[in-house]
Amino acid sequence: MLETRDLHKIYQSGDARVEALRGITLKILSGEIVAITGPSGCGKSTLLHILGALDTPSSGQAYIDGLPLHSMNDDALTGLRQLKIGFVFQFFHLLPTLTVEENVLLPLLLSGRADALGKSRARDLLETVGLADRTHHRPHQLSGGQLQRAALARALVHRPSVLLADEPTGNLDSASSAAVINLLTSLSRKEKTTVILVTHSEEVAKAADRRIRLVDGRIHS
Amino acid sequence: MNWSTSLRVFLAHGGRDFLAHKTLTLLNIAALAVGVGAIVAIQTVNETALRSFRASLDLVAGRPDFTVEGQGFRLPESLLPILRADPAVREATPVLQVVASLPAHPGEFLHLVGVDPFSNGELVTYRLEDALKNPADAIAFVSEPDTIALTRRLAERLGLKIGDTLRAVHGGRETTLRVRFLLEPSDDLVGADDHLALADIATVQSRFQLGGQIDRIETILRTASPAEKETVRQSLTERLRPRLPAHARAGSPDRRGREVERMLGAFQLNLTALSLIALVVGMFLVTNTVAANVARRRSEFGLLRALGLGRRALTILIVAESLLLALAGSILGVWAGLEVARRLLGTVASTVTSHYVLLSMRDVTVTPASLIGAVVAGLVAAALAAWWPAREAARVPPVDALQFGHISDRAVARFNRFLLPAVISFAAAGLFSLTALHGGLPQTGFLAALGVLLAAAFTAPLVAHALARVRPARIPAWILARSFFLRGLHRHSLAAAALAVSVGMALGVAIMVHSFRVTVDRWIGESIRADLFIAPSTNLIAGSLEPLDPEAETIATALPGIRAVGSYREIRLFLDGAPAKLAACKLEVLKTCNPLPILSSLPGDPYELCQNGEYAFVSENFSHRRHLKPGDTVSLPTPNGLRPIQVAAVFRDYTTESGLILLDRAIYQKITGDLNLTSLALHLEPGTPVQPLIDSLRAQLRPRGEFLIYSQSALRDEALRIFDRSFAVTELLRTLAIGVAALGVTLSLTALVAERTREIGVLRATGARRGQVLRTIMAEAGYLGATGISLGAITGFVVALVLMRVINRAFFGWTIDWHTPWPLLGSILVFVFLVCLLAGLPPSLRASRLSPAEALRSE
Repeated sequence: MLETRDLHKIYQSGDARVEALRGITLKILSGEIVAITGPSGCGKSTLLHILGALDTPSSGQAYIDGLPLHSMNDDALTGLRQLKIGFVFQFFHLLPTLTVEENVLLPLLLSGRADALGKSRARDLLETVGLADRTHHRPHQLSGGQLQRAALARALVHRPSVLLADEPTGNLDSASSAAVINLLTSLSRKEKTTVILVTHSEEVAKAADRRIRLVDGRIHS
Repeated sequence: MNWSTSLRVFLAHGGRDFLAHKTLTLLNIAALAVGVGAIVAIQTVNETALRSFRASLDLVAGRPDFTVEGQGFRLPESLLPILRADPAVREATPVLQVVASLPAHPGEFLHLVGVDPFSNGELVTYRLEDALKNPADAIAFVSEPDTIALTRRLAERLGLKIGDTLRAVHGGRETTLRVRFLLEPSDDLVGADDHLALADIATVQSRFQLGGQIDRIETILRTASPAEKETVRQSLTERLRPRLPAHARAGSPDRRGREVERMLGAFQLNLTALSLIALVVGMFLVTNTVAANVARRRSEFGLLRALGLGRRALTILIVAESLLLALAGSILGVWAGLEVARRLLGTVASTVTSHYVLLSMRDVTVTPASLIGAVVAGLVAAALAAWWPAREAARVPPVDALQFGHISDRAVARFNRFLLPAVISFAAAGLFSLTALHGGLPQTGFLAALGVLLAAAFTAPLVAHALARVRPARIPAWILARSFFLRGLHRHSLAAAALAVSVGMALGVAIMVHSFRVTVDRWIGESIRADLFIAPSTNLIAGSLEPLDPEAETIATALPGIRAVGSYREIRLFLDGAPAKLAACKLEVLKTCNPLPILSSLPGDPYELCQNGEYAFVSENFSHRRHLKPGDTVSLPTPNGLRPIQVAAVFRDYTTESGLILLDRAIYQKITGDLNLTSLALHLEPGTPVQPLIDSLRAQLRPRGEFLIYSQSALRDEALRIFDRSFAVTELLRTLAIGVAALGVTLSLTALVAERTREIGVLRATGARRGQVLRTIMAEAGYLGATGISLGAITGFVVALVLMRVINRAFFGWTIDWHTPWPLLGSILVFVFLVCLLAGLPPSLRASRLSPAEALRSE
């Protein structure tokens, strides 16, 4: 379960002060799929980063499965990401010189769990996302939709409890978008993973169980 | 946008970008500063050496129109009236020079020049200070037969003032001189040797028993027109020829300067070539930085293109921007180069004095033109280096340039295209080697070395690619580093090329110097068998060949426990316009106690041939340069006419770069009339203790002046000390080039970390710890180092081959046996690898400290 209480994030640069989040309080249940929407600059990505243990709040509290993100140091946050969090990005960000399979294995490799079991898990996932015949291909040999499916497999390979996706279809055509969102929702439901989607797309938002709209760093609806 | 607006906007933005990426900017400036600094340092030292030498010549000789000088042997004073009587001559004045040691000031010496103050008025290039400023000066100068004029600087250093006396020893004759004047050279001769002292020629002749002898006659011709002077010189030479002794050389006074400059040419070319390597390595780094800059600012350039800026204009603007940094780097390089030059002066002066000609340099003298030249070289290097990445950037269509996410996902570039230039460079190196060895163009040897280094540079991307294809163990940092390295090859290739060039050069020079040192050391062991050596101290301090006190031979021969006393006489002369050394020794002693390493000889015993007739041994380099073999003839100019001497044998010798002709002492004395000695070699009876003998010699010789007494091991140490000093500057340049290449590693990785900020953010988001990111970038530095080192190691052996078998053979004609200094090479490679890792540390730390959230926001 994810929970935040009166979350604030302020960016200070010289005299300039930007209050990206202004008291966000929310609760997301395990296995729930939530879409965060809102205009550009409303604080969507900042909230995603804090929930993904990539950033810390200026004030307030954030918890993943009861663990206090707001009071953890960098090492603890990294450990948390290795175990509990998966990411999907708009630009896929697969390492081009690694094969598709190696890319998927990356989170397990970084946490020292790229053993036979891990490899089998990676292959299963690649089969599920329809890339079983592309395991030894390099990213530049794949289409955009295939790349995002591989990125999805990478995000899930270590069985995270939370999957965070930042504009996962922002760089895809509508057919590929639909395929990726279908996969994302079906896989996360199957694995009982909580999903938070940041998106501008109405279609993507519709696939979520719940929608949170942010405006000027506050929950609008 | 019009041009001026474009330039203003662009440079203003560029300036802000430099400030935003301070590390990259500083590294870029530093890389060029080191390159320009190396050039400035070497140019300044070379220039100072030549100016100092010319100034010393001018100070001694003035600036005459025509000179007659004795080479190797002095001239008779009786030639003076012949010149004075010639209708073309307006004024002729004699000069006699000696180098004298100063027993009260060990380590100092006087370069005492005897002049005729009544006839050299037009040639005076100094002011006699603290004296009457009227014609009575000349009378004062000659009225007291012990009068000398010292340079103000030497007087200050020796603590002497007007009226003080000074003991001086030359050729075993000691005399007391009185300082009555201080010399102040004219403004354009400030670089001249401050050991110069002036006296009336009669004073020098009488004080050192050189009556009737002179070294040179300087003349002023009646014609003032420069065009006519050359014709007059030629006709005067023709008229004088039948009346001059064979060893006299007549002609333009510039000739000696030119000859010495030519002699120093190879030495200076060697240093200049090495200093240019540093600039070339610097150029690689500038290319790399500009490429990194344009990659980072791709969208900005796309915007400018979209707003109407043309391709050519964009190229020029990018180059102009890199010139801003180059200007800063070049100016910094000039300052650093001058500082380094000041520190190198002593070493270079000692080296030149040991090998070529007496040289004393106190401070750098450099013309603004050469400094401006160095800055221009830096700017041109930067412009050339920036041109290629700038052109590539300008070629990208604006639409592509404006899109995000394109750069980092590009596939690995094709590197096979570098194979052909590598092969061409290598083939060119082979051709240049042939022209250096057989085409009479020794300078092309340096082009051959450059060809090898270029071939290495072109091969760097291929080697890097091959190395990165080796699949690593399942260590996350290693796997990621390999992935990063492969993707960064477009950037790393240049850094690896710079590193390979530096390592190749460093290893090549290290192998050559070590091989040369071992060869010389072994040769010393084989050819120097005497137990003790005696020479006048001035020969070490001033590199001169002043005669030894003849009494020293008598004293040495009378000592108990002496088996044989070998004598040695050496003079410098010019044969067919090229310098050489003529030496004489007791071949009988040499044959029994210290046989020469003979390479080829006439049938029979060459020692007997030389002892019984006009035969000579010649050194290997003399034979090689002049294409002489046993049985061929050399014409020796002597005071008794030209003497044809037949080559009896060729022997191995490393004492002189110009080559050596060795005669038996008796034959030498017969044909030249020169009874002087330069040094003695004492062979002891077996079991005779050395130290008591040295003490006894010192005690007996002390009253007669300052002598050098070396044991065999001390002479060997001294020879190797001179050897090591000769290569000290080379080693400094070698270290500089490695330093620049290390900067390249930092630069390359810093640029890539900046390019990959978002990617590092993704890695961190995927679970990479700070330590893992740090180790990844460090391992990438390791890949880069391994590429440069492995390629540099191979290149080093090829460069050594060119240095030893091409450049050395073409310039010097020596045989250098190949000796690979494995431990030294190993330590250089380990050192360079550690330097690479160290150079990778700042960007690695930077990458590991990136906040993942900020890194992800960076695009």
